[in-house]
Amino acid sequence: MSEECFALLPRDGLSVKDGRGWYTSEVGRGYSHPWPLPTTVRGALRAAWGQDLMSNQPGVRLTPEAWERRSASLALTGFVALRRDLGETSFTPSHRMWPAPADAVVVAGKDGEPARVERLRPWWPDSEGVITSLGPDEDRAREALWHPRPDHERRMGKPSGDAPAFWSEADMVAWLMRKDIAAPATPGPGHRTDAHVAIAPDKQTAEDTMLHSRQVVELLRLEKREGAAARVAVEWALGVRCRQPEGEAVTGFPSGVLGLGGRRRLTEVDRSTVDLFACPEDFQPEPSMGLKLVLATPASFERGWLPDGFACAEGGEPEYVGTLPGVEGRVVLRAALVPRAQDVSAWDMVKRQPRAARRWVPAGSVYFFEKVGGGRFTTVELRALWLASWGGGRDEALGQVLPGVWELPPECGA
Amino acid sequence: MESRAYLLQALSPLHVGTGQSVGVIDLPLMRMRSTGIPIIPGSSLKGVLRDASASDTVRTDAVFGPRRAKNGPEGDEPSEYAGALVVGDARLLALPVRSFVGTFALVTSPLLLTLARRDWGGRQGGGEAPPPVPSLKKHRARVASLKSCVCLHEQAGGARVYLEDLDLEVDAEDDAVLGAWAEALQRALPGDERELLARRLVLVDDETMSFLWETAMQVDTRVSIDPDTGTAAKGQLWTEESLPAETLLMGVMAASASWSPKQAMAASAVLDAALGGQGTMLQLGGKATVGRGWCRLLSWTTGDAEARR
Repeated sequence: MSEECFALLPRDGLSVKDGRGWYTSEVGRGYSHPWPLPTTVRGALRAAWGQDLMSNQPGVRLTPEAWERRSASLALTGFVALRRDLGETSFTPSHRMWPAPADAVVVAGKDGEPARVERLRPWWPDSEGVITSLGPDEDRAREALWHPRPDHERRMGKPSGDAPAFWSEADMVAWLMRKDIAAPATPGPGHRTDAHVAIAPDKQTAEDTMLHSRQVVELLRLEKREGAAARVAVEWALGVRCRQPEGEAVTGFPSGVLGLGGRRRLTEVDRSTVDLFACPEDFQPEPSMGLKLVLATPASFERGWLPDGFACAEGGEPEYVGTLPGVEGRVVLRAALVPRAQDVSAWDMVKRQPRAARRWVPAGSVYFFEKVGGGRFTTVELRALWLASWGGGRDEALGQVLPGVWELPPECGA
Repeated sequence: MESRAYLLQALSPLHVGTGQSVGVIDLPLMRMRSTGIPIIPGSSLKGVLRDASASDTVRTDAVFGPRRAKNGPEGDEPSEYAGALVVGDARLLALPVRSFVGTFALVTSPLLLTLARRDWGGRQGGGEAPPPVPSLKKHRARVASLKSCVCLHEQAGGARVYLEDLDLEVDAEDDAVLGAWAEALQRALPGDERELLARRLVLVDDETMSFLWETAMQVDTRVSIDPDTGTAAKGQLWTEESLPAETLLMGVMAASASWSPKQAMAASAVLDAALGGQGTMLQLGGKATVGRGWCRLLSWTTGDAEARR
């Protein structure tokens, strides 16, 4: 089945509402996600696919129900942030940007020193210097999870307030292979707040009750670079891999510009190849006792933060055991670094009403594993996990992971 | 969706603001936050276009979306169908800047032309976009034709342009690429104004341009007069920023076929309806009653450099 790969270049910035107050006039303020969600992109692609289908088959007019049914199997199979200098002609894997991993803390430099990155590493819960409980004491396996601690004792400092939300490909690949890196300094996309007011057509004056604002993420910015005489224009984009419904593939999809997010902001399509999602050649981690998975896209698990298929055996050791895609045998979940859940709502275009909200594990969360009974994760296993899908929502590119290695604490026999 | 580029030419100072500010200008222009480039939001233009075409309500609703049944929050109900038109923001393309020679120059930069090239180029039905513009050294300028440009000051060391208080050295050769841009853009202008671009277009480096779009805007200080005393009202002195008359902005409109059950329209017909006749006059932004915001909406005619994709 053929897959299309392209980059989406929103022209005017994006506003992807997070569902708080579907009618902005209710709250006077529209809240937006800081970065578009894969589900938003898939929705835009389903809309565009229906339009392309109708324009290729004159006389065919899809009803909303038929549109929803026939486009339901359009799958988003890859979703990655991209960034390049304005004027570059194509996107390559080196342009990929990844969500900052939760096991990295950018520490502000003191006395003129540059900021540095501290690596968090799971330790036994009863190790010296770690907190003793992860919450209500009704789940033995959760309480037995290992807790994060700075890799280098007494080196932690105050976390930097302006740590970037995305890391470059080079930094992320090095981090996953457990190499030390300088603090990432690539600024993320910009944000602004737009104020809007409705004009009453009969009076031509502003309607006070319809004054509202919305948050916009901008994908074009000017950056200062060391050694450069002038600021450099940089553009962000969304790398997309998608699969059209089987037997109904539309040639040249998507054609023309796309409407994306709130107010259907105009988005150019820049064709690319599957290489955009490939595992980099220089990602060759040494076999390791510890595997970590960094979420490149948000994940949808049935039980909140706990990955699907992981459970604590009754009467056995207090630990979550399960399997992972592409990994032989069973693994133990040793630790999970999961920031606040991401609440996601959406608009049902057929029923003309909001869909039920969903809770996702945010991108950048990190899960740490060991093999049951010990043993190393091989380089082949680790490479096979590159952007593997994990959990639910696979047609929305949810739960795509980046594999990495971690070193077990010495007392654990590593 | 089918799309076309459009040009917006300010005929009087144009104020589309953010409503408030903590800076020295009370009512600043709306800008992209990360670059500072002045913009006219697509929502402003769409509202004005809708208002201008309101005489045919069925067709207007098909193009712009069904109107609200009630004004205000009470009218917040899901629409029966979506409008067929999407209007992109208009971005600064060329800024008129006071010039010591020739009264004013229309100043642009490689960054603005690179963005315009993406908006305008490579669409069906018309010519290729003009070629990309190479960057310039800091504090340098180029013109399409040294012979015909009206803003140059010739002197022994070579030509210079004086823009506001900036003194910029001009490259000693004609810039053919800039000439191609002037020629392509001026095809959207009315016949008797087509020389405006070729004779006044000046390309400066991006740093200089960003300085100009921050500092070379029209800033007016205004005051309310107390009707009782005929003197300035206390606390009602303010400054407002505008894009000067003759500013050129560029944007993109896109459309799908109409979703209205009452009015079938192809995407191209939706765009035709939105763009109106060549040189449609519109009033955009605030301060309409003091003459602000008169603009001309321009596009390229079919078969010329039609911007359709």
